[in-house]
Amino acid sequence: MVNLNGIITIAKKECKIQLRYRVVWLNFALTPFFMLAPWVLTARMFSPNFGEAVLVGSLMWYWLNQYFFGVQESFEEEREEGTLISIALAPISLLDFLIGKGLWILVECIYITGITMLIFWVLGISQATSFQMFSLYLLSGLYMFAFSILWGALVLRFRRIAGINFITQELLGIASGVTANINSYPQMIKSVAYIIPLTYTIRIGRGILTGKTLLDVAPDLIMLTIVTLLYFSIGVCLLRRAENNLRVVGGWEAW
Amino acid sequence: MVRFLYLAKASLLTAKRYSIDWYGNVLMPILGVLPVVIAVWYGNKIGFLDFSHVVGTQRFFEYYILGIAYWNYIEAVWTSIFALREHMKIGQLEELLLTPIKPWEYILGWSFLAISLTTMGSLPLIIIALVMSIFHLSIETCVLAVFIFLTSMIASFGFAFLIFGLTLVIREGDEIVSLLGNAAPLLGGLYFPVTILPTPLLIISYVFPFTWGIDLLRAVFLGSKTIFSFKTELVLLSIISIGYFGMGVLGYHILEIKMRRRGIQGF
Repeated sequence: MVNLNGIITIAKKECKIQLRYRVVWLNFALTPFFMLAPWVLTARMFSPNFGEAVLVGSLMWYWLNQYFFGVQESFEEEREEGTLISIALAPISLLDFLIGKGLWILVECIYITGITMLIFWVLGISQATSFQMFSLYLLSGLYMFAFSILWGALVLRFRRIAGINFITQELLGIASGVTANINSYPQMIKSVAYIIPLTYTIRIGRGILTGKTLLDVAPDLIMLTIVTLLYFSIGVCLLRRAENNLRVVGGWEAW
Repeated sequence: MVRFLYLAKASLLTAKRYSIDWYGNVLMPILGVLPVVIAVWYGNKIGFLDFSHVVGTQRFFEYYILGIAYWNYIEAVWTSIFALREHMKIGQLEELLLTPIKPWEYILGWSFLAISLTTMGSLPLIIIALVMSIFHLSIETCVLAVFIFLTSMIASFGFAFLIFGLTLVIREGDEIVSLLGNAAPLLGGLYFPVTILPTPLLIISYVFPFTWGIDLLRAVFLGSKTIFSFKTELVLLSIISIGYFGMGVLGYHILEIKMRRRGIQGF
């Protein structure tokens, strides 16, 4: 049973904390552009359409990036500050806690995506910055959030894997074809790509960009839902096991 | 003088307990540039464009190796801000400020680990490049390269001083470093010459010392064409670097005084 009040309370708490820090909003507004611009501008040198396609992949990858860092920090920061134990004592499950944090990350990502799309639109990228594409980025983000629960569970269980978070995101992005079409990849990488949810969201996004209808992308959407649900279920199970393990052996405040 | 080595030792000992982070730190710079390399590979595969006339050389491998190695060292100095922020968060900053260690020692001591990791991470690539006789080295090119590198590092320390001071007052120094660290490669020409950037970004990149540092290093090692004449860029790099360093040191002192008056409780 989902604890809706608890989830909203966590999201509100995050909101109140984040609003106290001003520079972080400037960082949110500009960093994604600076990070993604080399990918997009490099692709645009080859062809405008390639630039548009890379922007679609990049923005979808950025949601994954935010959720992977977000769920990790949910545990890591509370641990470092010694407050994770308070979460453990609160009448809220760790899954609800993560969903509450994720709800706030959703707000951050909407802000990030809006500003980044605006900057790229000023630079002349129009198709990937349409309102229709914005809705797709949002939808893709929800799938990425469900996928990231698995990473959150892994961080709780094996806290030191936090050090390879960015590498994991980069590898997932590269394998999913953020800056290329996966059809040109060697068979082995292609096989890996098909088990990553991001691959499907990028394919759907680029499909819609080139004029495909919802019906055309339905097979990818079904596969995306199946693969993501699978990871989400594994993530929830691992999260419960990690939580139970912590309650038995302790270590809530160790990092 | 050697007090910073104790901080460096502390960083190393802490890092030793988190060995998985080493892989992250060593691989991250290479993986960071990989999406661009893949875009170039894919672009060439589908035959849209000969990328070489844009970057001014056909030796993309060296072009990116030099860029990655250079940026890694520049940014390594800024990791000291993250260490400062961490000490603020875990409530140890006041104690640290009571010690007789000076700010440059903090910066050097805390960034020592990142500089070591950068050396470890960059060496294999540089050795491969040397073995493949990519760089045509002579004593003159080595001296020039060392000069350009050290001058760039002076500028990097200038940035570190200023952000260190800002962190003591506005606390969100890590956000500034994060923004700068992500903006710098694009604005400094890590991926392609800055001349193709839109005018507003181009103006910023021209007042950025690392734009000239990387352009000069590529000219020295790869013989690539510089934006202005080699001599002009060398003078520009020297002046801007010293300017940033002076501004950083002065800024730090002003901000430290402000911090001591206002107090630094909370994060």
